[in-house]
Amino acid sequence: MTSGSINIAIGGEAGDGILSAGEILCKIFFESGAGLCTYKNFPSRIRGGHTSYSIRAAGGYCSSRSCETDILVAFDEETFDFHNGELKDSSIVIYDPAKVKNIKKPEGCSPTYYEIPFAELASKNFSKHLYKNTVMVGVIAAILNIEDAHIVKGLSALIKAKKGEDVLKINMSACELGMEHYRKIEGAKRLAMPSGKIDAADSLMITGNEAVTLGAIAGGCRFIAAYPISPATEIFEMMCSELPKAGGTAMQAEDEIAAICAAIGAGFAGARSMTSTSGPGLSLMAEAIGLAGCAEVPVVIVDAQRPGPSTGLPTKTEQGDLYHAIFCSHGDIPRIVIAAADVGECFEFAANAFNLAEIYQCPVILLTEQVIAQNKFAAPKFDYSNIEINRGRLLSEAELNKPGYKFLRYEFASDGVSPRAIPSQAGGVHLCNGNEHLESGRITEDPELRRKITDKRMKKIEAAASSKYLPAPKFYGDDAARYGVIVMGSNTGAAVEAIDIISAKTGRRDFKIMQTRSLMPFCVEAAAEFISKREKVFVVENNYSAQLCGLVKMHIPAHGKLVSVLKYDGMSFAAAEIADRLMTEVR
Amino acid sequence: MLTTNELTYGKSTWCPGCGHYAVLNAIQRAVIELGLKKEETVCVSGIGCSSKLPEYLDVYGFHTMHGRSLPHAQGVKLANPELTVINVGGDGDGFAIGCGHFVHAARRNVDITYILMNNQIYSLTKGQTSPTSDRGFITKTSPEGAEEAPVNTLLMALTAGATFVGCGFSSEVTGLGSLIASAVKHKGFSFINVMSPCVTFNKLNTYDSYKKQSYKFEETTGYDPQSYEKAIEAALGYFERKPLGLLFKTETSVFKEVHMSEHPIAPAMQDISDPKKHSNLMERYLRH
Repeated sequence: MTSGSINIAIGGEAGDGILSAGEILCKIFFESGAGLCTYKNFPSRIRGGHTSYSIRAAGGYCSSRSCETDILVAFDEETFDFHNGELKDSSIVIYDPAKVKNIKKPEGCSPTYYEIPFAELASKNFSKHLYKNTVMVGVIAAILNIEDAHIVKGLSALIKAKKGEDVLKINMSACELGMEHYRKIEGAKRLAMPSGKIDAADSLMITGNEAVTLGAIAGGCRFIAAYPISPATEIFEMMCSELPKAGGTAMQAEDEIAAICAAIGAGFAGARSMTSTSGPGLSLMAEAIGLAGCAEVPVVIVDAQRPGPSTGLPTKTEQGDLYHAIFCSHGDIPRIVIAAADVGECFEFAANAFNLAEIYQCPVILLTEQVIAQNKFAAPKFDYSNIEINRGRLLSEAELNKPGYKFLRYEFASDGVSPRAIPSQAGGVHLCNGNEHLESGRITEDPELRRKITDKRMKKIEAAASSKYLPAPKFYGDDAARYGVIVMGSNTGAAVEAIDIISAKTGRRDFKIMQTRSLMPFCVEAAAEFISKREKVFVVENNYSAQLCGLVKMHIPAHGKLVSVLKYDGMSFAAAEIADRLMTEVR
Repeated sequence: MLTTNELTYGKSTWCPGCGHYAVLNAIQRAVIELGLKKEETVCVSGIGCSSKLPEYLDVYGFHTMHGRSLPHAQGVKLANPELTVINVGGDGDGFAIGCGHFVHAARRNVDITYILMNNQIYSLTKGQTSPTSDRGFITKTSPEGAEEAPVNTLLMALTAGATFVGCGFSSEVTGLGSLIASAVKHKGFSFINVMSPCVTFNKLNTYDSYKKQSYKFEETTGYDPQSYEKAIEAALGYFERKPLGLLFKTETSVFKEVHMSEHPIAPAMQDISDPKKHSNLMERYLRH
């Protein structure tokens, strides 16, 4: 499966500089035109504990990790425990004898081992052992025969801006030293970079959190309130520096309840507003999401999912918040829940989330996952010209004050979407209310009106289901395929590759994939048709309780065709893993 | 100029004699005195008898959820600093469930006004002990008398960093009206604790008892609202003697004031129609 990609894993202790070395390598690969995705495995602490940085450099865009490693760099012995299972005969393992005294070899394959004293080389030549990471970058560049120009660009892009010309020079020399050292090893193995290339000039290298931030700002977000939480923090950090430049405001809240409430306050006042969080924060926000639903205030909540329950695994990945996103908060409210598969969708969905929130005047939850949120991917440049701004039934002051017009904030509109006014607009004065209310917004307990206003609110979901801003399901594979695969979010890329792997092995194209991009409202008709055409449908997801499968069953009468393929160990699915599981299921 | 009538919406459901009528009236007087327009004024509340105030005040209003009105009010103000934002609520709403938000609203110093309608009891749920109930106060949930020490709201406001702290009384509607007006004019987070008796469920803290306990702070010798020490001293004595009027006022940096001076157009009023204007943010992710 790795014929089209080279996979590198660097393992060592947290605080060893492994993440920065990984970033440098990414930049070099990106400059050389490789498609890439990274996979960071790190503990929820600042120093100590095993960390690894895996990079998949591919001949085209890719969005899922590999479960094979072509080049393994071991700065500590623990690296072998984590990565031996990924090695194969053709793999190269390089290790630093400073900390690696015993080499634990994998069973069933014989990779080639090279001892390279990175730390010693660095200390001897540059008086700082931290340059060992750059020496290592040089070794990998030598193994892969990467052009000098790409190395220079990659190094200077990351180092010069941060640390200046002098530090860059030392790093260049450290890198050259690594290259020379490897080239001097007699008969040292070389590996080839994938032959395919992406159009690097028209590509980005970006994380999901960064893509969400770009999408939100482009989509008109001008207020964010949030509380730092892994793995969503980077959205808020970047917003704090970038939003003011766009005329917006960021507020670090005292907790997630205050965060969403401030965002709702800003939404009521007319700013496109959001909060960013992860599972524990979304749990705290439940009541306020209900308020936004009842009071019909637009607000966007980005949930970068991590494994729960409780604190769970803050730096790992899962898709376990689906039920919570769809059902949280007491009572019935209209809400929209969408899930992004990759950085491109993070950008696009984040921008459109604000259209959906304003048009349907309700909370919109955008689900991402740690694996997309915090890892880097090469992706086509984002298309800003595709973004529209649609503010729905937000009235102008002229419309509000038209002779004979009486503004009713919660008017019983046929599609449930009432006209909206914001403070500062004359003629629009009203009460926004989380208590059950009349069309005017004033509190009521009248049974008939209660029924009517509930119907009105909930009707908006029907309207939203056919909105052009709601991402429709996407399909991959042949329509004649016997089997179906239903996925959401990050599993999409892995599943698409998995069916290619299966085809390569079996010579048949037996699987068709449906990516459910909108979970609420759910694409019922499309899913029903998709399932009806298949013998069996596998629902592949990262959680224990088969939440996506449960959601499908909730909308479509159960018929025994659905089979869950689950994973909840904190890691994302790799394509080969999905392929194996599917082939076992249909054997 | 607006009238009290024009600023009133519908008919209230408060009990006859409830202290909250006077607070509503005092807010209306302040709005009139300051010449505010209906559409530029926003009244935000949580949940409780007192939090129903925006139902009866004809300006933009937001009747939010229990204990969380302050974060909403700050969001409104930050989204559009041109608005006058008045947050109202009761002692359960603001100092039990919402107490954490109070401390942070005070230290954050967003330019809003918070009027606490303190009746020292839960009234909408018909008579349970509140965080401001006096020790020993017998209610349905404190049959042996309230055991916890009451929250001293004035002291908490001062120590948390509120830049305007005052105390009012529902019997003194004229004084309360002008106190609210100066709180609204104040740049920064202003807090007013109003003794607003619940005539139905609280037979201990009444108009009479409050009257006996209160005194005009500005009539004390050496009155100086710039003096933090004097304000602290008065606040410390609150449970015995209740100081009416302005206790403390200071000018310090208002949250996001710098941002607002650099961006004359409020976040809520920004022209967002051209997403392409922000495509430069993408450049740092392109090839070098």
